[in-house]
Amino acid sequence: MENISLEISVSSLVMNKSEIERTVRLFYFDSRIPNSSYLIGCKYKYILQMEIELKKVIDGISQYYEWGHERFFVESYKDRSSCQDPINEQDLGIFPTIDLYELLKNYISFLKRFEDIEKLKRFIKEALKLITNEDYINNTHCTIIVDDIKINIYKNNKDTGLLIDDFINEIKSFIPYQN
Amino acid sequence: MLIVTLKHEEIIKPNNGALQAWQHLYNSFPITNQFRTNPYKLLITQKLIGELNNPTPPTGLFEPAFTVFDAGLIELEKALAKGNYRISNYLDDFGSANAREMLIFEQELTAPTRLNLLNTWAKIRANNYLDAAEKILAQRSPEYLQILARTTENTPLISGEYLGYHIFRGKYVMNKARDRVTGLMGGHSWLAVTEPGEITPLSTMVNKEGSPIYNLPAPTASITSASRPVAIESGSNAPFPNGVVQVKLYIWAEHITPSGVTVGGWKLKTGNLGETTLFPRGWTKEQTLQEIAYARWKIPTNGLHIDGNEWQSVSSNGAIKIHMYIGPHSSTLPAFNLPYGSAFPK
Repeated sequence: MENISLEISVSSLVMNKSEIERTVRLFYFDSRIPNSSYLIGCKYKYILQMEIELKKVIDGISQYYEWGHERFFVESYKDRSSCQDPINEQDLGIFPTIDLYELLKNYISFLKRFEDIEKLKRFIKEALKLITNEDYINNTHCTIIVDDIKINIYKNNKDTGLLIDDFINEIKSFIPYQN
Repeated sequence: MLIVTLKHEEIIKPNNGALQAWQHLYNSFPITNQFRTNPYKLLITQKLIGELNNPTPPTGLFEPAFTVFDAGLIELEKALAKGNYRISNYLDDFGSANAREMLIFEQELTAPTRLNLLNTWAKIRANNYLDAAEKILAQRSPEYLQILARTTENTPLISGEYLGYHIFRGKYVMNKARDRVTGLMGGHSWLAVTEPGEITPLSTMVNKEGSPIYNLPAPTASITSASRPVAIESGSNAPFPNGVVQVKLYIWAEHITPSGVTVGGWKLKTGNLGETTLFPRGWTKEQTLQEIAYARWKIPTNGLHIDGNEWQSVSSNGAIKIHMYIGPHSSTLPAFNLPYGSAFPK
């Protein structure tokens, strides 16, 4: 699994009236398949649907299936799939369809682990406890690795002085669960 | 060669208008690098104008003074071309590192770029759609003007198209032989939607892979090489509180039947099962591009790097998140002149 990396990132954006919008994103990177991490731009329910439809192609129930994202668009036949980045008009390569199905399955497995949002929050909170309070307060960017998952915390200046509990409780968006 | 060295007071005293403009700015705005540098530029330029026997007096407020400043830049260029002046002499008198940086920045711009900025400034000055609290700040920023020029200009983007087409019409995806439209990218504005009503696509035939061709209802908009019907799927319209709307878009594309005949039919927008977001209804092209440029301008201070070349920032009213694909894959801040791949709201 050396080609795979899992990442949970938490980042903040200042919206109107200095209100902070804090977002969690769950990325799945497979270095063998360019742009596949852009699947985070697809809603969770669609990612689940893609897996089901792609399985039909592999099983010969369907002949063809188009899926993915505008940065990772896939045309799948039973054996081979062509991947493109239509925004940049780039061919990303041709891959065995079964490999792309595995990619979807693994990403879904990662997402299912945290689809309970409260569980996800607890996981991030526990990870933050692994660093010293001083490191948490003084750094705008912290990286903690737990269970081979990289947790990246990007803090905004407005987050300064915020306690860990408040930081976690004020997360508003959870992507790709709620895009 | 004439080298002029002036003291700070000597430049301010003879020019009350400039002094008033300077004081107005310092009293009205937080002392940021942005505003600290502008009065210096103004004073230097006005002094140069005076020395070049073109003593157009500023009226005391910044806007008219900016006009003088622009005229002054042209005069400054002429003077520099003749080798008559050294900017560094003036800057040393002010002793401001910020002013030095700003003038170095200006010197690095080519004449066409400078002219482009002036034109961009004139356009946004006439129609500035940004939020009231931010509009003047942006309009006076050389950095914002540079980004706005890049956002609106009709030069190839990453994929070779104009950002305006991508957002306001949608980019047509072609087959490999490039003789059929097979999908739609972009289309992030209500202006991209050609069909007056939402549609529920129906199929009475299949394509060569056995998948349904949604050949009904027939489109009302005309079909040309430059314009294809685009419609919203019935019931997919999900408005956000900030005015952005999420919809499923269809384009009238070309499909091949099992017997090899090309027929028209609705096709979901490429990727994400056709789902897309539209900038708020009523936003003009000009307003949309100004807001995208604003969000890009704010990336260094309030932007996020999402992944690859995807960045996120906010609109001038702070209500709309704007995502942008800019330049190559990189987590370093994108330079002003890098092309867009797309820009869309959330």
